[in-house]
Amino acid sequence: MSGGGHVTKSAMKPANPMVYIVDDDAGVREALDSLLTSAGMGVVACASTRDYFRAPKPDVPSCLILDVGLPDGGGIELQRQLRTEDHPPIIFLSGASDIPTTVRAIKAGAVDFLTKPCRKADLLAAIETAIAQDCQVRAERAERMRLKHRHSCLTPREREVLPLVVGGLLNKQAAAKLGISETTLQIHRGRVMRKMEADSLAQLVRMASMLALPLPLTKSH
Amino acid sequence: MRNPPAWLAGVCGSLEVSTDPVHDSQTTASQPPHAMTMRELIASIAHEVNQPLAAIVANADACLSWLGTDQPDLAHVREAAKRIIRDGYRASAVLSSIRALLKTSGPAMSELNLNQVIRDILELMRNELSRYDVVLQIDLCKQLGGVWGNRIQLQQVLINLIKNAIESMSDSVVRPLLVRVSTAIQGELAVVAVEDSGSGFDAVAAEQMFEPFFTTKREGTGVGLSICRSIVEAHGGVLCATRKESPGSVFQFTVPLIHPPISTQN
Repeated sequence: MSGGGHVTKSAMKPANPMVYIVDDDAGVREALDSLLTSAGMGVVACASTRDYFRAPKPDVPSCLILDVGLPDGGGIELQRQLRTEDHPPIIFLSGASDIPTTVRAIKAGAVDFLTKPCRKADLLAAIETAIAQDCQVRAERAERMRLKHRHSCLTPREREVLPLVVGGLLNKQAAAKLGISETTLQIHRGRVMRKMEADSLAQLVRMASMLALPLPLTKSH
Repeated sequence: MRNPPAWLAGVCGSLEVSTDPVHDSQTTASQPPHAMTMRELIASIAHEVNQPLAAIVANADACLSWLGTDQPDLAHVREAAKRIIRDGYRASAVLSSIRALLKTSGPAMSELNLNQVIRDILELMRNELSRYDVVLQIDLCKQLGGVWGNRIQLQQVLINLIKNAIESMSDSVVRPLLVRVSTAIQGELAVVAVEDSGSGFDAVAAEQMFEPFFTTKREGTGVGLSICRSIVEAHGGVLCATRKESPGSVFQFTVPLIHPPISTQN
């Protein structure tokens, strides 16, 4: 089998959502490829998880249709490997679904678990859900990137001020902690708000949580 | 999991009958030794038939979908229809190989073409082999004559040896994973060899591997090879294992030929 997956022509249109099929059965692969292509989707058909990792991944909303009983480790194993990185939502296809495997897959975040042969309507519905989920994840990821960039534009001092402010410290307390005057702290705080493009403290708090900034331990009174 | 269809129950029954003599000799086994192999075989058959069916359904859906547009793309429709035909034959071929299994059910011995027995089993295990990325080499001796034997039992031996070969390479990082199945004539005997490119076995395993309940596998029962040896010996042959120079092992068994070729040596 050729490496890198087989990309159909429609996959080149960037606007189309992309569906990755990973199935070791060539017959099933070709059939799903044709079916999804006819539904206007971009399709990358892979014979193995190795092919999937090698396949080019255009930056569009996508999802992954995984055969449970794959060689080189199986679909569930691939799902485990993928957990550590950004990957499209997974829909499992299985010859005979057994309950423990299904539960494990869904618990590990699979969107759906379909049994072969599966109905077109079920498959398309699962793909729609998965693509919608991916769109949301991508939007959040893009937002996080923007915030990271803004955060990187802060001065070292402003980066010290930010967690203290969102950590709920009063200006006076924060200033004391950094050994600066309250007026100076207020100036820094104003700059932080402007550079982070936050309209309110609440928004700044939300940004800090998206950036997963370590907050100072505030003593409870 | 759904119940197996009725026609598979037939295969089960005949296999159980056919392995009974062997089972009786293994009175210490708490579970019939063939039970696991049988379940695996059924799962494998179910999978082999379900895959083409899944493909047929998806292809037919694709056909309708391509036809449903304002200007149907007939090339796509034609391709999908061709795939339906191909997959239909594929499912049928699986059933034919089952039928071949059924035909000679029963414990009776008959004249067998060992090469054909091997080809039938390899067809059944094709998916299993490709699942593990195994490259199969088949080297069957054309001059090999008939042997007197029980088809089902000899098929069980072959399944066992091939599965062992695949499993012995499961941790191997060297590619390709190679399984070579060959037949040859050695005097008055037909020799069947199953070679793998796995890690081989150590001296301890060499001594004990034919003992009941000896296993190096995490989920093995350790009865496979001892059963195989009983079957082969019941056929008047010998089953033995050797390590190869290059990594891997060779399991080979002999079965007397009905009409041995006139010996040129001796």
